[in-house]
Amino acid sequence: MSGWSGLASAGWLAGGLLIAGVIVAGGVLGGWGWARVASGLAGCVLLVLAAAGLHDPLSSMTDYIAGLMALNQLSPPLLLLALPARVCDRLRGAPAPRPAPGLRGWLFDPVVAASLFATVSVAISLPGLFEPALADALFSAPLGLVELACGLLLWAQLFWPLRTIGPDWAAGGLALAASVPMTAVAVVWMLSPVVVYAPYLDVICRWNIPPLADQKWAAFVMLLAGLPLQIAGSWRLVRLPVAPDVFRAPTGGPEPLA
Amino acid sequence: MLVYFGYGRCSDVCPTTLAALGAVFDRLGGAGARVVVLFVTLDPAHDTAPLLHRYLAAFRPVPVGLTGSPAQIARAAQAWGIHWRARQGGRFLDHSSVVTLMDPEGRLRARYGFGQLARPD
Repeated sequence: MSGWSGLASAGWLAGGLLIAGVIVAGGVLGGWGWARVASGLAGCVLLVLAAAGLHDPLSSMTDYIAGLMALNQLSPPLLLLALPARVCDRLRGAPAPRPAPGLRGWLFDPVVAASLFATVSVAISLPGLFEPALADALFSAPLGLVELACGLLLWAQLFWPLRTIGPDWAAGGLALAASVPMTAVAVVWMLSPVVVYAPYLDVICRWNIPPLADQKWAAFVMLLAGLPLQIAGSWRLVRLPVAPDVFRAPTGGPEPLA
Repeated sequence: MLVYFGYGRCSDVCPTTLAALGAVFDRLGGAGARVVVLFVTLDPAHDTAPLLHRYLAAFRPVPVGLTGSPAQIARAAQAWGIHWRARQGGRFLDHSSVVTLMDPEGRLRARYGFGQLARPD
């Protein structure tokens, strides 16, 4: 991994501040409620902090994965929780769970979300499976943004005002199924007797931790980071009632299909 | 030409990487005679020429050690895309570990990482 330029770092910070500004404005002017604002701001803080693990070319694998997981697993639900149902309707272009129109139909499609999430999880974590040229191209991309986008698309399917998938059990099952590749990667990293870093991802010689131990700690971080998605998916799967209204069908709106 | 940036006081990755090249050269057989391994120290203050010579003599093939002034080393590391920083008052270094393959015309052909050491082919 290469270090971030000053422009990239500034852009990342500016993006986080912009999102935070929108959330605060929503709270002050749009009546979003303090809980939503707090959740959104927590997500923004994680966005900015994730850069600490990603921008340093000498970060340990553990720090690097912690940054990616913060963007992929922890920040998205907090950011999505900030959005009231009426804002979600405007984002989708059609009330959930009706399919969103046009390009938004792809963004809010559960199969697209799950496929992207699973593919990115494997591609970034075990890039040796891919042709080096393809993997080189992948690692030249802004991986943090890719992880954030995939996380947002998948987590949206667990939030009633955003999701397209109708039955609760289907949404829960989708989340659990999508989390399997990431869990598998973490297990591979944890159990592998050798370092499985890809050749084009520079391994860092750190003074205080050998690469294999670093890989195992990174696996542990990945396993922990996947727990919220698995818990949320299990929750939806068994259709447990949840207090926040974002998990319920809007009153007067379409009832759940199941 | 295979180029590697490391330092003599590294206890893990650097010696492991240099040692793993032995298996690679075993597979190269006679063709290995046309390949030279260069080891550029990132710790010129400690890795003097005699120390570097003794350190590298333990590996097969014996790398050619390169050193220089701290400014020269820093420029070279930057040019080769090697990131590094001193830790524990300079006793240890964090650095990116990659073996760069250069062809006879001086063009970069490939970069090999730690994860490939288990696959000498």
